[in-house]
Parts: sequence; C-alpha cells; structure tokens
Amino acid sequence: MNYPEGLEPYIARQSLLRHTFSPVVSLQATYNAESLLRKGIGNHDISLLQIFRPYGNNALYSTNDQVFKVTNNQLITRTYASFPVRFEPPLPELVSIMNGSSASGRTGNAVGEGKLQQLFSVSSLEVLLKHSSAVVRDKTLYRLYFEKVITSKCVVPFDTFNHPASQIFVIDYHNDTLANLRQNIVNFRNFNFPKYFQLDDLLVFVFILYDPSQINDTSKVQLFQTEIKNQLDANSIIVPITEYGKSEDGSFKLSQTENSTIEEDIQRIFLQSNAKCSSVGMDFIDIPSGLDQSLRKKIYDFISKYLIPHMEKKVRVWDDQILSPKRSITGRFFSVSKRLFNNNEYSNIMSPDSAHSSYNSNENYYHKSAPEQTLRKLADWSIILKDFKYAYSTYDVIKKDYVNDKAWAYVASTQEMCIISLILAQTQKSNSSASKPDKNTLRKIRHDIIEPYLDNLSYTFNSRLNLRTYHIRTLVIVIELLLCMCETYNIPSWSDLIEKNLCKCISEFDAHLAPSSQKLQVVRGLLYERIGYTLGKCIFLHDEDRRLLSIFQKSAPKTDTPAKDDEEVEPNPYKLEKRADIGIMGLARFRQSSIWYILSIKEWMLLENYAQVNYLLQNIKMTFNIDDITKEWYDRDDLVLYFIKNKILQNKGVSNGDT
Amino acid sequence: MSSYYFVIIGTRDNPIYELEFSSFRSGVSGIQVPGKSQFSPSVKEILPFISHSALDIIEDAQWSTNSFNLGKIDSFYGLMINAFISQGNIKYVLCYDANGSGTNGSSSPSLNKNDENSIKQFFTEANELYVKCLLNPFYSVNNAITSPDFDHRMKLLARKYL
Repeated sequence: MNYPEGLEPYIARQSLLRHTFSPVVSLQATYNAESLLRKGIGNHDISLLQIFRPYGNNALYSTNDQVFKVTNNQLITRTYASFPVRFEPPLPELVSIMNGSSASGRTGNAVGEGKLQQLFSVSSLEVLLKHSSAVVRDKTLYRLYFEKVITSKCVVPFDTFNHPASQIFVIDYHNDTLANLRQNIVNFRNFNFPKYFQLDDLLVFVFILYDPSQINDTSKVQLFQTEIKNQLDANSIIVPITEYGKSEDGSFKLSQTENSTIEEDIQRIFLQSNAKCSSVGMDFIDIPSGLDQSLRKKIYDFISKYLIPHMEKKVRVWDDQILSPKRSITGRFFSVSKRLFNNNEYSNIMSPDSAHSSYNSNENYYHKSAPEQTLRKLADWSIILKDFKYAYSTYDVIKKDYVNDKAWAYVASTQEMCIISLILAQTQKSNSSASKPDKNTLRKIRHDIIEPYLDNLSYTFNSRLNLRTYHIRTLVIVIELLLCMCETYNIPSWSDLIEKNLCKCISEFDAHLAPSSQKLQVVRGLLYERIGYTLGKCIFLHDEDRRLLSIFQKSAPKTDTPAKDDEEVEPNPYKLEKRADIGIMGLARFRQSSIWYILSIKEWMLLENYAQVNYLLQNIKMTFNIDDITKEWYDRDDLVLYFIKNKILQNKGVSNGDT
Repeated sequence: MSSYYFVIIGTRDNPIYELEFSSFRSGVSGIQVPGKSQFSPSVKEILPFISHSALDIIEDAQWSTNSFNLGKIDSFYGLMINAFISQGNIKYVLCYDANGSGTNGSSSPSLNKNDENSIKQFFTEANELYVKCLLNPFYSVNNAITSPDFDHRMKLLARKYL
C-alpha cells in the first residue's frame, strides 16, 4: 500500500537529470531552412527551434529500440534507454536575453561578467503555480514546481551545464551554399563570447534539410556533405523534408512546454489569454507523423554517433592532460611549492593570463584557458555522461583550488555539485544491487559532507553573493536526492535532515519575498506537503518487518467499538482495548506527517482549491477520520480540522445546490 | 513572557485535560491579563495537533530512557515540546514558546537549565495530581478530567513552577 501519496523521489531524480544535467545543444537555422520546414509542416507561425526542442527529451519522444552507449574513463560501457539533450538558441542569443533582462542595461558584449542575477523570480513561480493548480493536480503539481525550480537557462561562469556542448547549423540544401554556411560559422566564431566560455570544446555540426521531390538522387546531397566535411571540418546529417499532407498518415501532437522556464510559461499563459491568433502560445503543435519519425531518427543518430563520442573524447583528453598530472605526486608538489614561493601578491590579481592564478576576482570568473575552468567542465560533463563517482572525485579536487583563489561562487557551486554527485552515485540504478553503505559511511556522508557543505554554501549564496534563488535551488535538489537515498537504502534516521532543510527552504522563500510583503501560499502548501510525505515515509522497520506496517494499515479506519471476545460472556467495559499500532509503536511518524499535511491543506483551503484538499486529505486518513465530523477531539470546533471539514461540507452543499 | 500549553493525553491518543496559560514569573506588563496565554490564533488552532504529533517521538523516546521525564523531545516552528510519560501510559505534554510574544525564537541558554528543572518538577507534581484523580472510584482511565478542583490545583502548580 502506498501511503502517503506523493511524487516518488526517483521520478524527481530522473527529471533532474533530464532538465538540469543534460547537454545543451544550440541551434541556428538559416532563413531558407526555416521556410522549408514550415512548408513541410504547413504551419507558418512556428520556428525550427520550437519543433526541435521537444525532441531533446528522448525519453518521451523515443525511436524504436533506441540505446545510448556511454563509455567512461575506465573504459566501461554502459547503455541507457535515453540520453536527453536540451535544444536552445545559440549562445549569443542566450547571452543577449540575459543581458536584456538585467536591469543595469549594460552594452552587449560584457556579458555575465561581474554581477550575477537571480536564477528565477519567486513571485513569478508563485503566480505560475497558482495558475497551474487549477489544471494540474495531485503529485503532478509538486513535480511541476520541482521542474520549474531546476530549469534555468542562465549562463554563468561557475557552472558549465548551460554552456552549449554543441552548435548545430541548420541549412537548406537547395538555397544555401557552402559559402553561406562558412560565413555563418565565421560570424558565430567571431562573436564576442564571455571570457570564461570555452568555444573550442564546441562540437560544430550541420543539419542539411532537403526536399526529396526536387532532386532525383540523394548522392548529390551526400557529395555536399563530403564537401562540408573537407572544407569546414564539420560533420553533417541530412534530413528529408517533403510536403506532408495533413490527412495522409495522421499527425502527432508535440508538447511546447518541454523544458520551458517560469518566464516562458508565464508568457505563454499570457498569450493564450489574449490570443486572437490560435497558434500563438499553444501548448501543443501538430506535426505530421512522417516528419516526426524522421526527426526522431536523425536526432537519435546525432546524439549517439556524434555528440556522445565527442563528449567522451573531450573528457578523456582533459583527464589525461589536466586531471591526471594534477593528481600525481609531482603535480601536488608543484602546486604546494607554487603557493609557498609565490610572494608577489599583486601579480595575479588583474591579469587573467597570469601563470599563477587565472581567477579574475574583479569580475568573478576564470579565464577559459584556465585549468580550473576546464576541470569544472570535465566534472560537469562526467555528470552528463552519468559517471557520478568520477565526477565527485573531480569536484573534490578542484574545490581546493577554488578555495585558494577565494572564488566563492565557484566554491559554493562545487560544494553543491559534490553533494549532488555523491548522492547520485549512491542512488544509481545499476548500483542498487550493491549493499547499503554501512553506518560509518552514512555518518561520514551526512556529517562531513552534506551538512557542512550545505551550511557553507548557504552562507556564500545568501551573504556573500546575495543569490538566494541559487540556494533555494540547491536545497530543492538536495532534498529530493536525500529522499531518494532514504528510499533506496531505507534510512529513516535521515528524515530529520530532510525536514530541517525543507523548513529552511520555506524560510528562504519567505525571506526572499519579505521586502515586497507578498505571501506565498502555493509554494508553502507544496513544501508542507513534502514534509508530510517525508515523515510519512519515515519508518524505522527493517525490510523483513514491514508486514507489521501492513497490519497497522489494514486496521487504520478507526472503529470505536472494540472487537468482541467470544469467550467472555460479559465484556469488561473498563478493560482497555488493544491498540492497532502496537507493532509499530514509536517506529513510524504518521502523526507528525499528518500535522504537516493539515498545514498544507489549510493553505489550499484558503486558496479554495478543493481538488487539492481532497487529494491531501487521503494522506491523513491513517491518523484521523476524514469522512465526517466525529465526536473525537480533533473535530472540536476550535481546531483547524473542524474548520477544514466544515468548509468542505459547505462546499459540497453549494455544489449540490447548483446541480 | 512565555506561553504554555499543557495537555494530558490518554492511552487512545485522546486529550483528557488541557490547560493554556502563560508564565507568572517575569514581570507582567500590565496590558494583558496575567496568566493568559499569548499564542496567536493560527497557533492556537493547531496546538492539540502539535502535541498529538509529538506522541510519535514520545513513543520512540520511551524505549531509550529509564526516567519518566523525557525532557525536550521536539520543536515545531519555534515551539518547544517537553514530555513526561507515566506508568499507566498516560502522556503529559507541554508546548511552550521560549521567548514569549508568540513568534519563534530559540531559548536563551541561561534560562534553559532552570526551565528544564522546573518543568520536570511540574510534570512530577502533575502526575501526582493525576494519580489522586485516578483513585476516585467514579473516574475511569481515558475519561476527560472535569473536576474543578483538579483544574484549580493544576493552575496553582503552573503558577508555582512556570
């Protein structure tokens, strides 16, 4: 029996890997390619990126028998059923969007350097969730909240997950020439990128769209491909686009909400409410099945044949050239001596090319040529390639360098990733056959890594950098991963840690909105619900004793009449009846869980969202009678549960009266 | 001035006696009625639930100690919770906010030691009162305690110790 009901932490873990720790592929299409695709679909209000973006989530939009093989540094090959990527506009655009939204209004090229922005706006999150709560129910709402918090497109120096791993140029075979393509690539390369962005690691790739009805044989297109390969040193894939009739073989609905940020969602909702034109701001677009299938196939080819090998190769090269020497004895000796004998304090502050430290403390970034920046990327990419153990060890190594350079944003972000990669490694499915980590390891993980790092990074994000939203995101992610860990290995003693962090998260949200004196209700309700879920799952029983729990759960609906003993003719009314929870007394936290659920219900009650209230009420039925107002203590008219039940009854009465 | 919520909970998790009051000890500011609790309405309506949820911890903690007084076992939104368990599985729970005014706050360390002791005393004497009440042939376990005399004596205890 699944009690309490809530979002399974494993699903949260998956969506974390999908939305945050997946490679960004930036797309740039020529005008001709766009128009060819539009003609193929028969929809003229749509951009190529809009069509490509959902296909990045290849867990949902998969091809038949898709398998992604990833080989790690120890040359062990693992296969995965999906390997999501995020299709985004090219970096110059991403950067200019960020610049545009920053209030300071700096000029276009000094980007992301200096002052950092908040990750998302808490009040927009609240608005979005409030709007969605009318449609999205139950545990999906928490999932929505989780995904919105972790999805971001901010390009920051200290975290390379949002730095594109590949740049795709989409061209039209019939109208675009090689010279056009070359010009595009040159223009792209000449853009004044942020100084921390490593352009050379980018995989430049070309998608060639062509119309099979206009040419006789595809050998010409293949010839074009070899030309591109020879002259521009870029691989390519050809995609046939015919004019698909709408009625031919049906169409396929493509979600437009895939991987969208809070601001994008709000914008879409706004457009929907004001829309005159039907296709603007739709949640779904129709795409012909033929095109759908061929796009899936081609994108699968691109990821498995080009993107993954490219990333593997880069990771291997960096490991060889930077990480291994650093870890070796001579490397350690060298770094120590450098620190001891470097007396010239002023030499390294301003110049990023300085041999000693490449940290630019004025604008808070490492120059792209710095080994620190590359190592961070190495670790990030190993997370993307799902080699979490290796990633953890790399984060651990570079953390010291960052501390030495007082690069606080980097330190905090690396501490965050240390925790995340560690728990991800522990909860990896292929690992789960491994036995539970012993008590000492668990204590070490909790007291030496998770707790101090969390404290430390909360100080950095809140006080040093004034970036509360980053702290909130870290908390949200860590909470879910901890829950996942608890569920995998049955560690009930960690639930107080999760509870503490959830409370911290609530106070962070509150503190963020304190100046504007706004109130958070939806977010609060969701977080209370999560505490309830955590405590409800906290059961101090070994796996073999879980049957005791089911005995308790079967007897849960409370019956006030004690079972009659047949042998006794006259039952003794003063004899105390046996309690239902005698087997698990003190081993579960259902009553604690209930009070958090009640608090959550109260928030939803004030928002008058009865669907959510009814869903949450199911989670306290083990403790309280929820069907009607009884004479028990918890239904006294000065208590919150009476208020809730009364409101529900009134509401029922009103809705019955209406019908 | 701290506010207190004291409840005796029977064996079926049912509250049998409740008392809300505030400390008589520190200087009364004159505006409020002495001894009247200062919990905000939103806290008031969940106080019985807070003590109810503490039962989970009490039942867990009872196996790990020999004494009846379990000390401070939990805290909920700045409210501290102390508990005492009797031989007959009757639980005494005291919820209080450490610094008065109904908002959250951590207790100051100087106050703490003293407080713990007086709460323990309070619990012990409350238990004695309860046992006396239990001796009454017209009272059976888990019934609500409605005796005005019990109430009066309990308030005297509260005044004496808290």
